[in-house]
Amino acid sequence: MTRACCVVVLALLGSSTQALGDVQTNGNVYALYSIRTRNVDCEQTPSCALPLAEERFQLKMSGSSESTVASSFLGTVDFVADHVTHTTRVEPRQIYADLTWRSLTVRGGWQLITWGIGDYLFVNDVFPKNFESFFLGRPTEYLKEPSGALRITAPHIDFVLLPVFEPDHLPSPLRFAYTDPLPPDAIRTFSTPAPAVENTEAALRLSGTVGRWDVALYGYRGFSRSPALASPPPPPSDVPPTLVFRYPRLNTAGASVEGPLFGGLVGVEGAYYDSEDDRAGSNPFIDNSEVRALASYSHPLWEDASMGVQALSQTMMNYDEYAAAAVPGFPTLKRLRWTGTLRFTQLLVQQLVQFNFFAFVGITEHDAYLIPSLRYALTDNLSAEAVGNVFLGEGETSLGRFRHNSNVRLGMQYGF
Amino acid sequence: VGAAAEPDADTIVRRSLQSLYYGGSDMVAQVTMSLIDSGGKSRVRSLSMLRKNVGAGGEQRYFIYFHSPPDVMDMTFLVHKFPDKDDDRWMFIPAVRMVKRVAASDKRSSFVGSDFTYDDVSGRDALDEKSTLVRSEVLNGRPCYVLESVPRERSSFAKRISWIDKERFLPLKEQFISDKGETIRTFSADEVKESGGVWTISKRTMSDTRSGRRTEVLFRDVRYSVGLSDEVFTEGSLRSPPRQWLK
Repeated sequence: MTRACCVVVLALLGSSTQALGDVQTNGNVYALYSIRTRNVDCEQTPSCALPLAEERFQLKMSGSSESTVASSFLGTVDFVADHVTHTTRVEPRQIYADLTWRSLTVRGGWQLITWGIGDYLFVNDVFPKNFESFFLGRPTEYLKEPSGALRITAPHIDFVLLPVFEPDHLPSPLRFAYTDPLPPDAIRTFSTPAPAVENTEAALRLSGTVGRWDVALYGYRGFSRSPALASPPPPPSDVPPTLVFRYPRLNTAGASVEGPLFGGLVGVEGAYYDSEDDRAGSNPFIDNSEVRALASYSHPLWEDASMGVQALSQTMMNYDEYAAAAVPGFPTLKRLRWTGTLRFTQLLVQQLVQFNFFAFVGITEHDAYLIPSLRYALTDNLSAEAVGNVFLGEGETSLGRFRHNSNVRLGMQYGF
Repeated sequence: VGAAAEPDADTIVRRSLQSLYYGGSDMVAQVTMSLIDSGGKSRVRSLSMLRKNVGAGGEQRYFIYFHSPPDVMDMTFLVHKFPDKDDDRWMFIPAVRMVKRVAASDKRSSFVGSDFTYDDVSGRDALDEKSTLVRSEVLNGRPCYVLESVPRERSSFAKRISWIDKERFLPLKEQFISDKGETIRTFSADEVKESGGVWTISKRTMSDTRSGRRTEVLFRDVRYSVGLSDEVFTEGSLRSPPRQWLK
């Protein structure tokens, strides 16, 4: 399957690089450093004071040709000098080719896929994300991880096949200090779905407008991108204990509506998460089936200023079974969880200065994640940015567990 | 036969908006905006602007693609413009490949940091202001109507004085006056060219008198009635911009 996928990508690339009129080369140079704002016991984290210290050289090449079947390609690759892991590495970000015939486009390769109306809250966007990057204050583009995918786009239809499973990237003990209920010295193995026809993920979006309202329906069949313990943790007597994780089946179906209201923009998005491997809800290590519902409103405030608020609810479908199967020592979730967000943006000095404040508030879990940021474009090519990542809360809640990892990220970006 | 009667102010405003924002059935232009601060330092935004008129009611579609600076390269904007209500606006953020709908009741906010507002770029409704014809005057060799317009709603200016070319109906100069009577912004049409039978302001400047800043805008390769398809003005186009019109 992987081989077939590669052949398709190569064929697309090959056909699109033929007779390219012009190839454009652009890129970015980033210098990114996060400074931890609190002293913590860093035995587990080699990157105690600086959880992020890296320079990135991002090279972007693109080209297109026009004929009956138009073709184009994009290649974006990051070369990273990472002073936390003391390594240099190459990170392919987007490498894809497009074939377009009339209004039908086929895109094959490694691409960023995102949809839904949420602002940093995801309901129908089940595509891979890198929360570690986000929490460290890397630029927003690094919140999204590329998927090896074939995407077919026609008016009102998006259909995506993902033959290569890509998990979410969660904060790792290398850069984050937090309590893990599992034995820290355990040998962990992650069993990802092997590339195979039956494991190929499929996602569909149908979209359109009704009057001035944007309406969309979404469907996904695939896997949860969060690892789940394949079997209960072994007794502590096992030395060293072995933990096996896998990615359970997940199917989702949902819808969104967005449109103008009172001079602002109102939106609603919902989805049903079908946890296929634990429909009974009695396996404490696999997420319960749930309903996610999001409501959002954004409005311009005054010149060059705007605000937006969102509320997200997550409701477990089989809470009694989940509660009955709870494992001592592991955090338990409430049946209904609410999360709120607030965004405020102010542009200043010919929009060369951008102040932004984003807050996640765990209304049910009593925790919060605040992201103030200030960016200044020194020239058309060079900008400087400071981003705060502030985690508040107590205990082992979703955001509060990272409270020892609050940081300030300083960075420069040179674009060309 | 005596001189034809002067048209009334509302007719002049309507014809002027028509000439400035509605030329041809559609338009493609390559636009360079230079934002120049009081010290003479400039920031340059380069974009392609595609526009299509929809029906006779004044509805329009705009598609804007940013070529530079690097931090906005490949960013696209789609605007469905309605003469009598807020626009619908979408933008595509290339870094995360996401189409985002944006609230659009801020028509008087700055367009990409320039001294032009969204209204200045895509036009306003003739009914937004109450206009009076105050005199006729020759400006740079061109006979002009001089209009005084007062916004009907609270605005960043109290009065606008416009010099409208009597023959081509393009504004050659505009002064935005504050409620204290001082000139806060000045618009000037620095170069007017004919392009496919449509008179076009190919070079214009908006100066902010108080800050000493100004924005100079050049329109290159302006083409009218090229037959832009409706698909150019859809979400799909935000993600995969119509390259043939962006050069």
